[in-house]
Amino acid sequence: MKKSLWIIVLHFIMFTQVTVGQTLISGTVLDENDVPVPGANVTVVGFPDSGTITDLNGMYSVEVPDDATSLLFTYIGKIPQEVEIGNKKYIDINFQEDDIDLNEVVVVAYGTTKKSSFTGSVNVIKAKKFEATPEMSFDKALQGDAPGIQVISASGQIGSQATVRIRGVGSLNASSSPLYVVDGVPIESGNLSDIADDYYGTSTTVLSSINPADIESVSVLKDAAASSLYGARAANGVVIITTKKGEPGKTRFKVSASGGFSTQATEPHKVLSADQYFKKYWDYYYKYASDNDYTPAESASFANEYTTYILGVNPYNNEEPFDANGNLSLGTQLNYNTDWKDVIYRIGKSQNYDISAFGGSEKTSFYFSGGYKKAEGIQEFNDFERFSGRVNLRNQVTDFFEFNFKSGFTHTNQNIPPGSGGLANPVIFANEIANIYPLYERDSVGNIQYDNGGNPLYNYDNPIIHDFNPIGIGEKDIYNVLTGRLLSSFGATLTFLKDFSIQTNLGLDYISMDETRFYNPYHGNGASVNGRSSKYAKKDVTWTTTNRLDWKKSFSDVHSIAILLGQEASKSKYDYLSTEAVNFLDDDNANLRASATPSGTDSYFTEKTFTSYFSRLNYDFKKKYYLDLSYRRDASSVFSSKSKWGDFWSVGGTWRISEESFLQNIDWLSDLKIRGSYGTSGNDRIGRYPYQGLYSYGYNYEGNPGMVYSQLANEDLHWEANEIFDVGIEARLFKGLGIEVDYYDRKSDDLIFNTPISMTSGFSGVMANLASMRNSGFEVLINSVNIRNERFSWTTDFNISLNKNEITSLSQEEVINEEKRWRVGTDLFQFYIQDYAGVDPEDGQPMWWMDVVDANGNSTGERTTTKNYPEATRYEKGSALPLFFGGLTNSIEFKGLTFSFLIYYSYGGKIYDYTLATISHSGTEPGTQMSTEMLNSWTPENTNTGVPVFDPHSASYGTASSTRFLFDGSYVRLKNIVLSYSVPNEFLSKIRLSSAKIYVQGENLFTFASHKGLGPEIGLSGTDYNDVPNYKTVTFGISLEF
Amino acid sequence: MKRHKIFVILILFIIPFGACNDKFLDVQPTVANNADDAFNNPSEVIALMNGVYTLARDLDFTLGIILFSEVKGEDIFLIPDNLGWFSSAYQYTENPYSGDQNNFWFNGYKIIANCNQLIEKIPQSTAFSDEFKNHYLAEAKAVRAYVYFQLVRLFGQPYSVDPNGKGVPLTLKPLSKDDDFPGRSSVRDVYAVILDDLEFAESNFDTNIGNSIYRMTLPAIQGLLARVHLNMEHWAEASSYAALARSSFNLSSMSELLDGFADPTSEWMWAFDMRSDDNEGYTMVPSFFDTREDGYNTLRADADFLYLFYESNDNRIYQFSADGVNLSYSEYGYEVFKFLHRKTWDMDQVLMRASEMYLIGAEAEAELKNYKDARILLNIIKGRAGLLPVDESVTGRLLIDEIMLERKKELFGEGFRFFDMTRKKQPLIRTESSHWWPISLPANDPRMVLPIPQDEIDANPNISEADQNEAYR
Repeated sequence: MKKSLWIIVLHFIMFTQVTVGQTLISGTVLDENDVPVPGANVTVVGFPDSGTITDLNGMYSVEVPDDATSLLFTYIGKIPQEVEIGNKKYIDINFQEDDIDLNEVVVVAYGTTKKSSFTGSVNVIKAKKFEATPEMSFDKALQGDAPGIQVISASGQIGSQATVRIRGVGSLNASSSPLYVVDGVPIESGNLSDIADDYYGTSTTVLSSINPADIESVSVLKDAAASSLYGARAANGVVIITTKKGEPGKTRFKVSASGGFSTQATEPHKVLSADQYFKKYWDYYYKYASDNDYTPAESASFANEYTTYILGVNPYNNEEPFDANGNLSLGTQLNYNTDWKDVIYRIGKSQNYDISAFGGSEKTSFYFSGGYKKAEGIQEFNDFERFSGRVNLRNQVTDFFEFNFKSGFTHTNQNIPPGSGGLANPVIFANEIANIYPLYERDSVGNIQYDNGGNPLYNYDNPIIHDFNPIGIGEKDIYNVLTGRLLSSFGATLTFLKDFSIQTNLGLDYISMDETRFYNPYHGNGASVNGRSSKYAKKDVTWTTTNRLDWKKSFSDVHSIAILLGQEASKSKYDYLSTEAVNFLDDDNANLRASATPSGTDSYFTEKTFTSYFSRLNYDFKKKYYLDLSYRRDASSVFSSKSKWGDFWSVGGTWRISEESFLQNIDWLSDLKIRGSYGTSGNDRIGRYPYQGLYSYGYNYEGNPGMVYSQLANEDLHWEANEIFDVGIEARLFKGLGIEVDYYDRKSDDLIFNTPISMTSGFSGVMANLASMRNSGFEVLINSVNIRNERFSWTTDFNISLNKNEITSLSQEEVINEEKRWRVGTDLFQFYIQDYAGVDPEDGQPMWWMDVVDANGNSTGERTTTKNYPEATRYEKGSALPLFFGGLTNSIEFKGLTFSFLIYYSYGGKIYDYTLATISHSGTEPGTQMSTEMLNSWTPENTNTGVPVFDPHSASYGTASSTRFLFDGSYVRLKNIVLSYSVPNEFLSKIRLSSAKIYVQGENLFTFASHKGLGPEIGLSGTDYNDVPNYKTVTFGISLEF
Repeated sequence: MKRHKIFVILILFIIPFGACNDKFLDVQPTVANNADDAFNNPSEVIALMNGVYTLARDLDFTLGIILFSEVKGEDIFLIPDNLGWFSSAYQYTENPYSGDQNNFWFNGYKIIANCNQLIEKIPQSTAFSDEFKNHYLAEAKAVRAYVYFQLVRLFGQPYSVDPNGKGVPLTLKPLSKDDDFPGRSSVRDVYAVILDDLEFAESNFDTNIGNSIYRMTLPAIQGLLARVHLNMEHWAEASSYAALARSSFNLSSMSELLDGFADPTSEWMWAFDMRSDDNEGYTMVPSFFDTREDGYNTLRADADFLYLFYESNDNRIYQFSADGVNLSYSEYGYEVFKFLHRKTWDMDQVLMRASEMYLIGAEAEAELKNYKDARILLNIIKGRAGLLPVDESVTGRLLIDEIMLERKKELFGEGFRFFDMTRKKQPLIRTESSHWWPISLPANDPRMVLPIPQDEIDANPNISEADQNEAYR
């Protein structure tokens, strides 16, 4: 390569000397970040013999014949640019990155490959996507960017975990999350917190301990050819994160800062105001009294008194707020109207600072970075703070020996108010408590009460959630998570005998987590024990060592072979220590020193070890036909010695049709490739001791240790197995149009599933490999360069994913779990609920459909309605999974100004609105908030309505599970919009900057959802769990390089 | 040479993980003990026995069955606002899919499975002395008998009604997932196993090792034998075992009966230990009764029941008084203060008292027509409560009714009522004086036998829909 380059250069020099009538044109070639590009080709269009390449500073000068009209600039990985010469003597250009570069090098399992020849299905997301993301973890920024990857952030709590699924859900009980690999080292992902966990309905993610600004690229490996080399951990896909590195050249510094604001992305359900709520009950009791022959005045008096009694509160400044005519009596007004959502939500704020230095020489390169992020969520008391640093070093010791060291360290500090069904969940409080209860204590005329220090006293009194006030509790209770993480890898490579190399790598993932949960002694959860503080200290440490031998050889430019042999072992240990005390001095100090009574301590550790051997063969023939084979043998301590070992393999092939001679002369087709692969992978993420017969500790008695038989042994338990078939076509047409289409069929067998057994065994079930599932679908990715010239460019990227999930076998005929039913032939998230038949116009009672049965109890196929809910029949009413989803990105650049937006869409898929169900009661839950739909409830005058009669004393099942609360979950969202401006070089050079960019960015600014009142982005299962709604964010930022 | 050095360094890296696969892959839990290693030393057997008591104590078994038995009768009831606890039991609306009985079934067999592990593995071990083996075998069998006794009375007709009726499945050995699971044995066969286990326990129990009233003791085993024989209407055996069981216990004073039943008194024969750092929290019995403390506070006494104390000047009426003077009536009924709920959470749960043994003796003697002996025993209990002795003219049915009335008054809240009602073939008669669910059922109505959990029918090939109890088929 080097040699041929020099010949070309010499060539140019020779010819330029003999050409006559020439002009000298010079200039600088920069990349999209205004960084000089050395070695770029500059050719004179129409004069193949003239041209030059740029020097180390990106500068060039070239002699141009007088009749030449334009210059062509080309460089690997950049979009070629043709510039008219005209009268110009100086021509500077900025290259743009080529999104569909055929020679693009992508990071894959244990190495890199060229996208154009790869036999597997992989999507690569570049640094640009992560540099300015307002999210705490990079995974949330992947949404809508690549087909086949579903990213859902059900919770708007900052720092919470996103659900990431690659090509559907592949497990029932084991984890369905992909494997994450950072710089070659598989890492811990997921939620390790005790403060924020399933019980509390909240989460953290250790992925937030990777600073997104340090990420160079993220590769998502989707099929067997791409991922099988990760064997027993690859069943749900693999996400490979590569951090940034330095390039030879001058040391450069990059500084960026941004700040933003966020609010709720969608409007919540409309609910009754305090006066509407009070009046709803008042009207009922007024009518009740009238019907019992009270006079209007007596009826009003009864209704005033009884409504106040049943609600436990009177929000008016008058004991008799309504008169005999049902109007507010003279001088009566509301003391308050508490909008609880307004109380618990706020404008979130964030700020982010990153600084990095990178560069190096031919022998040594480095990347240093430091980052700070601080964010306050849209929910009161929810915040996130991160300090991060990274050092990436590479040194070429001799021509045959190289080592590298990559290390990132992070500290995060998060406060996470509780969620889920817990009484302390502020979201439940805001959703469920009616506006008639005051935030602060008030006297009868409505004056806020204060303590001696002049602070307002919070009101803890309401009939629904006893002794809670979301702000009063939030100010005193603590849910704090401190996480420290060190992610390091040290590697050395030795090259020998020309074609061989040995590489060894040692990786460490060290996570420490310190948590505090404090219930104050005065109100809420801690009141009964006079305060409770729980402290957790945890360590999760994984060592991974990888050793590999590589051999690469080409034979006479026809055959190329690469062989990899490798060995890997890893060991994870999770250490847990907790301690708890009750009986606290006051609500100011959550440390155990300030308590009187220890109430529990615990410690334990769990371990998992893993050892593997793996190999890969890559072969290509004339760069036309490619064959990749892989084989891996894994053993995991999760399974018994009988079933520890598993074998995984893949075979993949690519045919680059466009390289065939019969396609050489087609101008509009620059690349066409067909690839296909088939292979297997596994999933072992089902706890750490699932096969062992176990006696659990902790069943103590009489002050002595006790243990209980807690798990039946099952030596047969083994991997969940995945088989993936994938066929794809990649093409590049008309220069600027890239198309990639994939069809896949993913079969997940031996899924670990709790099989019921007779309880006479002492157990209700055992884990066994008994179920299977299939995910199949299409993915389409289109990249189009619509217009691109010197001043203006417009690109469009579009992707769409269609996935069909189907349960293909189960150990039982059906499994019913709340509103869902699993059975063979349906998908994992099929709603199976009662079908709401509206309201009986005669009496306003809710009705449901039921099957008509004959004398033998068999359905006749006809349906009728019933008002007795337990009689209603359950039907399959659609799946929570979308039919298709994807993203559309448009990006426009004009003279340093860039404008781009990403629209995310998800079509089909049902959502069940629990929140709406809760606030749709017919008065039977006094004090619980009601939807404004209740204003349209059935009355003798208003019979044509779907809302049942308001009757606080009925026992109707109006709010029970039914299609009344099942909605279409389709939505379209303006996921991301960015406007940025790069300051021209002329200005920058004066202030010694090499680039400067300012931008404003919006996330989730607009959402168009089929069903309103609930953020449409809820969990995969399509049910909302009182999560904090998603947020929209506007961020302003600046980025400088010098 | 340099190259050589680097090779050595690389090989050093490779070796540590490559060489020791088998051991490397063998990891053991620390939150649990691998089952294969659970019988290596005496302390492990003791820990397993402790675990059995912890399971048995739970709301899902003993505590639950006590409360369940109370709310199914006529004397104690649940207020409507009870957070769902025991509401189907109170209303007799259990079904095979839901209800507290499903927990009793599951946890009952869980305790039995733990006992079976002990019973199977203790004899196999070479690490224990014979004394040790015999004693812990006896203890495990006694607990197993207690659990079967509870289960068979919940899920089958009483022995006194139909000993040949369907009882519960008998598992006497550890079962694995591939074993053939047992179908329902007859009530008679289940009782035979219970007697067998208890008799083994009685003759092998080592009183030098087992002397805590919070565990099985010899008197507790004899007391259980008395109960079992009483249910089988083996009156002579019931009477003699009751006498044997109570022989070393003195009745407490009346004032001790008003102390809240939180700590053992001289007449307590068996109890579950509750400690400040080891208790069942809000699911303990006092939490459901004692309204002075935060708790469920959802159980009340029926007015007619209270009147029984009032009309006879029974001193035990003060078990319904918070201050020792006044009764306390709240929205739905009379509050009960027999069981003190104190902030330290260490209220022990009484399971057997000597007074019950007196009443068993009285009942058995009456049934044997030894009316004089029966009256003597009955009058001891009545006398302590400040009641006049029963007249010498009272014999036969009248005397037995008098004894059953005394059981209601002496033992309410302790989990006897439902079982006495079914055993003695009494109808359920709830008046509307307090009950908001005034159901009445004829004696031994099919609904007084609980449904076999549907999950069991689905998972057990030897139990079919046809084996379901009559009221739920």
